[in-house]
Amino acid sequence: MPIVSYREALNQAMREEMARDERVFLLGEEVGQYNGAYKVSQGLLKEFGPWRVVDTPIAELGFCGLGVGAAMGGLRPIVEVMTWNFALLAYDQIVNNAAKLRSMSGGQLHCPVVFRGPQGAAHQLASQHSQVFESTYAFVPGLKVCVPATPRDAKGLLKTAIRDEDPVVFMESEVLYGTKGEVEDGELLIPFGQAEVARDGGDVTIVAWQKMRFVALKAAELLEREGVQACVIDPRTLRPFDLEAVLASVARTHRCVVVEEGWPWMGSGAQIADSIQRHGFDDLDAPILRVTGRDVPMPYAKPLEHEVLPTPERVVEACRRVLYRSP
Amino acid sequence: MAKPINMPKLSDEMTEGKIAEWLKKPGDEVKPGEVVAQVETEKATLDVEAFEGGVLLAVVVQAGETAPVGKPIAWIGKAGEKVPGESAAAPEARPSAPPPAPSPPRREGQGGATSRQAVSEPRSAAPAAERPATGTFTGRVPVSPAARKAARDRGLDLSGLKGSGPGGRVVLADLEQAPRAAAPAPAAAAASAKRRPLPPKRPLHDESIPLSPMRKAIARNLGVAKPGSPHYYLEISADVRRLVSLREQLEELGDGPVSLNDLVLKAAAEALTRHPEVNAAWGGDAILRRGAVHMGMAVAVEDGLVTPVVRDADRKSVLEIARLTRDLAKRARERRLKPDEYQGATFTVSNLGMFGIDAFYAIINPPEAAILSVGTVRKVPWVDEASGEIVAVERCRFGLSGDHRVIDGAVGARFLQTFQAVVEAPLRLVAAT
Repeated sequence: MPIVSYREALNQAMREEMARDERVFLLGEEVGQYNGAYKVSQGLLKEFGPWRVVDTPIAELGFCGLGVGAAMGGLRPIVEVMTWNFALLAYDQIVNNAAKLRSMSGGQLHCPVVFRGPQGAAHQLASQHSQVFESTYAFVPGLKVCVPATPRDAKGLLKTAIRDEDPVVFMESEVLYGTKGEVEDGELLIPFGQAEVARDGGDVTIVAWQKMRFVALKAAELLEREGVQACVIDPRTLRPFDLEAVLASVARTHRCVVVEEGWPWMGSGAQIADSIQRHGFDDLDAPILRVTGRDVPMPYAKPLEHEVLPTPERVVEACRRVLYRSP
Repeated sequence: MAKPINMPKLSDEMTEGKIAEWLKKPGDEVKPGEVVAQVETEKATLDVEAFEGGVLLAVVVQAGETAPVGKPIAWIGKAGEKVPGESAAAPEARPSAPPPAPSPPRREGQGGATSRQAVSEPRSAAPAAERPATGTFTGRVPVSPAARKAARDRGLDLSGLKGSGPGGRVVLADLEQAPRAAAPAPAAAAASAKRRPLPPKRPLHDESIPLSPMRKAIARNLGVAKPGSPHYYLEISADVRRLVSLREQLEELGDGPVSLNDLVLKAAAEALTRHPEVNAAWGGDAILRRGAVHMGMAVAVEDGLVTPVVRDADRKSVLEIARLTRDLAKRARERRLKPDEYQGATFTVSNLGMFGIDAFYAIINPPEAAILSVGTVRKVPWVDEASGEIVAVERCRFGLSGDHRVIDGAVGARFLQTFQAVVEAPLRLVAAT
């Protein structure tokens, strides 16, 4: 199977879908002439021309609204937001328009638009450019939220997102763009709401996605040296969420740690922990613990940034605690 | 009459106050409305005024001490007046350690850098979440949901178990070392509900039953096959969880040790009253039914074996039996038994359980018709009839050697069945029926 970078996988997904369906087009800041701020749209302007790859002004509310309108009108826009930090300006279009059109029109309208771009901390981008907003979108009924970790998931989920009849919030990761992995050539559709067991084990369940998947896998390696077999589950989409996969694992391990890059209070992990205790109460031998980014605006200083983000060591410690191996 | 000065409620939120300072000391004159003390609340230091005038007779809450709102902090009255309930009031009004002032209500999730308390990363938040285990579970065993479910499924009783988790929480790992359930599982109770009723107790008389031609033929033929007393052997196993628990409870009464064998003796005596045909002897030309239940108990002594007798064991309480057997066994080992203390048994129990013997078949003590042999109590995997699951159950194997001339196999089998039922529902042994 070809080895492809996360960036190329996204590029493949868009290229294939644009070739397959002429209603699909891309718009956003720097997506055309500059080939994308992160080079995800490399070559697409050349291949599909300025009608299908549209450079926009720096006006998130405007061009996201343009995407919503185009979707209502029958097209299938992919709106690239340079990062999700900037898409805060377009939150109204995404939440108040895209997410609501189907229900508020009684099903007469729908909005098959994909908003995509990177989120999360990269390296010393400070408070305003290091944020994780997945939970604020997964919070909204009417939106679907993808958080792919691997090149294969990036391609398979983006193709599914572009074909979806409803608005999809597609969150990528700046630091994952360069990572490589096996990706099938051509058609690859990964359904939403289907978790992947990134690593199997019967002693403790770790739920983690996107960058945190790799933090969890590293933690699982460290735990293995202590004789603990961790099961790492990557939900891949936060809405819909594959609760069954998590519950099946917890039924085996009786303990669970949820890892997320974002802030703790009202974070995705809180909802996941709630769902597990609600539906798997009798399976739990220990409280569900969460490992999250610290509850602060991201500091600029490198050691402080490291202190804020979840580490494999913190995940290991949480696992030891739910295993009653640590006070 | 002396009147109290109570801890005043100086604000809506105030539940207790700490005396900052006494401005008056015992013996001082106090005018109505005069400030006698200052009280620290959560918010401020406020004055306490006397409502009545007089002499400050006694200060019961000293400076630095805390008292709840409404409790007397001092007494006021005429000089020389006695303070009511001084001795009784004092300890109540003087907590040895002032309780910690309640902290202001915590508001979580107010965002920004001020909401450090809301950080739910495990190192800080989870211990707080787990801490209540000690306090809120007073009188209960804190158990993780998974352990609770497993205990329910396996019929384990967790009461009294000390868990290894935070605050003594019983977790799955603890169940592996959990002692056998003290109380029988609901499944066991369901099984016993299905159990057939015991045969009725029957009056015992000394009587000689002439041999029928068939009995004569049986005795003759089997005597050829097995000369002497022709033994046959039966075995039954019983769930002894309740018996073991009953023994523990009897010992807790503090009236001296009670052995499992004492309960077995009593259970066998109980079964004999319902099967008098087993409480019998071979009489050569007749079968001798016995009018009393005298239980022989095999005791190993140096170089041999003696069988002291517990007379009328069916009418003695378990504690009486326990005292007797202890005394008899001791004197048997010292060879100080009188003949009537080791003669005249109608049935004998032999127990090798203390040696870890699973099961064995004892040789009948002639002229008795049968002897019960008792193996060791072992925890074994057992298919629970109610749930169909395999559970760990303490069971014991009992053998019966019967003299075929006196009792046929079916008679011995029915006796063992009754004996098993008594052992599995042993409350009968101590109930005053």
